[in-house]
Amino acid sequence: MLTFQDSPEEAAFRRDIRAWADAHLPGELRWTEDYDALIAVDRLLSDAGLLAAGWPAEYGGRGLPPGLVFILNTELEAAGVQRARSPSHQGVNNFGPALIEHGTTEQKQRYLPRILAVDELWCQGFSETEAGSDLASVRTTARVDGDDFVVDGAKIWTSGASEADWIYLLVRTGSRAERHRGLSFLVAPMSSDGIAVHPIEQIVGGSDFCQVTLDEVRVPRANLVGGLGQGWAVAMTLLSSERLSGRHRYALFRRELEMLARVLTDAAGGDWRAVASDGLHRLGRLVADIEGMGALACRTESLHAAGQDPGVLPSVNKLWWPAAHQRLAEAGLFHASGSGADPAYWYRQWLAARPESIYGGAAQIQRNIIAERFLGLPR
Amino acid sequence: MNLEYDDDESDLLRQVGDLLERIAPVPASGREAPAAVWTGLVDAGLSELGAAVHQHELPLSIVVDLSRRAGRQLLVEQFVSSAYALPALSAAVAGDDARRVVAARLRARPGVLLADGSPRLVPVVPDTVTAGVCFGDVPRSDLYRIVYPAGRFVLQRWDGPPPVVTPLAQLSLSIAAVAVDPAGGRWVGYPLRAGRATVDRLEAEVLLVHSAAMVGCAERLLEITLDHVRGRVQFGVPIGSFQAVKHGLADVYTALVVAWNAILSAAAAAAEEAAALASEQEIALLVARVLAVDAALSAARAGAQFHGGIGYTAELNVHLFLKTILDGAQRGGTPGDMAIELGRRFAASAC
Repeated sequence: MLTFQDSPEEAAFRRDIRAWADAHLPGELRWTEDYDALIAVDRLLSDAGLLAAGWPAEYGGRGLPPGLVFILNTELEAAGVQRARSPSHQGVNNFGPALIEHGTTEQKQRYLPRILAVDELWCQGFSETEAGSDLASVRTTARVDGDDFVVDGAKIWTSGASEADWIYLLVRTGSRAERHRGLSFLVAPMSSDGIAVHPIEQIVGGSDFCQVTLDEVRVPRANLVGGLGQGWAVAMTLLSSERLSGRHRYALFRRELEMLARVLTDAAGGDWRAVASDGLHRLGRLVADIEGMGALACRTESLHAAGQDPGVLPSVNKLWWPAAHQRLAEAGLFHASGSGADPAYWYRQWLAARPESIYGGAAQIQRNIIAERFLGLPR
Repeated sequence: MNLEYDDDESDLLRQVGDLLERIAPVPASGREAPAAVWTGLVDAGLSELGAAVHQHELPLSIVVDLSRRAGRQLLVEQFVSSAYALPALSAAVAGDDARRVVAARLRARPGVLLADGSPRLVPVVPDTVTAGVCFGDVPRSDLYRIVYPAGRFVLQRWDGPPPVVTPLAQLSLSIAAVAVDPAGGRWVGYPLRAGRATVDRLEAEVLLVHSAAMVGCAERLLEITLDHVRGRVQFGVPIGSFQAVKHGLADVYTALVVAWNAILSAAAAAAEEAAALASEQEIALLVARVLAVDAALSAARAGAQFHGGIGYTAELNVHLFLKTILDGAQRGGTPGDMAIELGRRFAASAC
C-alpha cells in the first residue's frame, strides 16, 4: 500500500537528525553563502558521519539505504544546509559515487577518505568551449608517454576550481571520429605543472566558475579511472547523479514560496485574506510547480528504495525544477518591486537561476532525451 | 514512505485495465462512447469502488490508478460520478434497507449529481433547485442531488419523467444543462449519516480521482499523437523527427509525469488517518488537481496542433479526447479557481 508514513526505524532516524541539527548547527551556519561557513558545515557533517552517509560502510560512509538518505537530506535542507552549495559537493555527490562504481581498490583507498574528511575538494573538468551540450566532442587530449598521460587542452564552466585540490577530467585518448568511445576519465591534482585557473566573472558578481587550461600536464597512468576508452561510462554515472541532485533544493524553493507569500501579504496590508486574486493565482501555480518537484523527488526515492530503475524521472526532474524555479524568481522579483518591497534578493535569484536549466544537461537536451529515448521519436 | 504498488496490486490494476480496454474500447472515430459501457463497468464491480474506499476495504491509491485507466478509455465522468462519488455517498446512507435500495439502483443504472453552478465536485444544492449542470453520461443516467435541510445531508434521486438535457454548446460529451418538471415527479430522499467533515473529505477524494482520470485520458491522447507524428511524413521525413514537434511532446509528457506523481503523493498523503484533512493534505490534493488539469490541457493543445487538419475532423477520435479534457477541466471549478484556492491555502499556512 502506498504511504508516506515513516516506519519506526525511519521515524527514529528523522528524530535523530533533527536533534543533531538543533544541537550542532548554529544559526549563522544555516542558509549561509559564505565559503568559510560552508566549509565549516561540511566539517560538522563529516565529524557526525553525515557528509556521505549513503556511501557503503567499507568506503567510510554509513551504508544508509536510499530511504534514510532521503530523510537525511530532507531534514538537513529544512535546517538550512544547502547541499548543492557544499564545497564538498563535487567529491561527495558526483565523483565519489562514480569512483565507487568504476574505480580500483587503490584509487578508492586513496581518494575517498580525504573527500570524507573535507581534506580534499574536487572540481569537474567536463565542458569545453566546443563541447557543451555535445559533451562527446571533447577536444582536450591525453597521449600516453611512458608511465604518464600528457594532457593538453582547456576546460570551462569549472565551478570551485580556485579552491579545489583535485580535478576529474574527461579527455580524448582516441581519435575524434570515435566520439564517446575515444574518451577516458582521469584525475589530476590542481597543483600539477601546466594547470592554470582563469576565473570568469559571472553576471551575479564573483567568479565561482572558471576556465582551466591544461598545458602538457603529466598525469600518472594510475590516475585513469575505469580503463582506457571507458571514460564515457564513468561520465554518464556521474551525470546521472548530477541530474538528480537538484531535488535537494526543494527546501530552499519552499522557503522562497513562503517569502513570496509574505511579499503578497505585506502588500495587502499584512492580511493574506486581502491578497488580490491574481497574486493568489500566481502563488498557487508556483506552489503546484514546486510541490510537483517534491513529488518527483519522493517517487524517485521510492523507486530507489524498491530497487527499481527511475527511468525517465531524472530527465523529467532536470527539465522541470529549473523552469519552476525560474518562474518563482521572476514572480518574486516583480511582486516585490511592484509593491515597494526590496527586490534585491529576487533580482539576484532571477539571474542566478539561469544556469540551472543549462548545467547537468541543458533543458533542450533533456527534451531530446525524453523524446528520443522514452517517447520513441526518430532522431 | 512507499509510492510503489506491490505485486498483487499491480496484477489487479493490470487486469482491470485489460478489462476496461475490452468493455469500453476507444472508438476510432464518432461522437460518443458506446451505450453498453455501464453494464460492463457494473459486471466488473467498478460501480462499488467509492463505497469500498469509504468502508476501508480499498485504498485510495488503488482507485486513482483505476481511474487513470478508465480515463484512458474516455470514461472520465462515468467513472468519477457513477463508479466513485455516488457509490461513496450511497455507503453513507442511513439505515441498512435504504442503503441496499440505493446501492441496487446504482448497480442498475449510472447516476449523475446535479450542481447549481457552485464549483464543488460533490455539490450540495438548495432543495428548491430543479435545474442545473451535470457532468457525466446524463441522458443514460439517474439524476441525484444532495440537499442540506435542517442541518442534515440528504441524497435525493429524481423519480419522474426524464429531465430535459442540453449538452454544453451542443458539442460537449459530458457537460449538460438539465431541468426537471417538479410537477411531473418527486425527489426521493435518503438521509446520510455523513457530517460536513465526511462530505468535505469525499469532495477532496473525488477531486483526486477525477484528476487521475484526466491524466489517463491525456496520456492516451499523447500516445495517439505520438503514433501520428511517427507515421506522418512531410519533407521526406516523419514529422516527429523535427525538434519543434519533439520538444512540444516532451513537454506534454513531462507535465503528465509530474502530475501523475503528484497524484500518487496526494493519495499516499490522504491515506494518513485524520478526522479532518490536514492543511498539507489539502494542499497536496490541490497541487495534484492544478498539475493534472494543466497537463491534460497541454496534451489537448498539442494533440490538436500536431495532428494538423485531420485532427479537426470527426474522421479521427482526437476530438473525443479534446472534448473529454475540456469538459473535465471545468469540473469542480475552472483551472484558475483551483490555482487561486491553492494560493489561498498556502498563504494561510505560510503567513
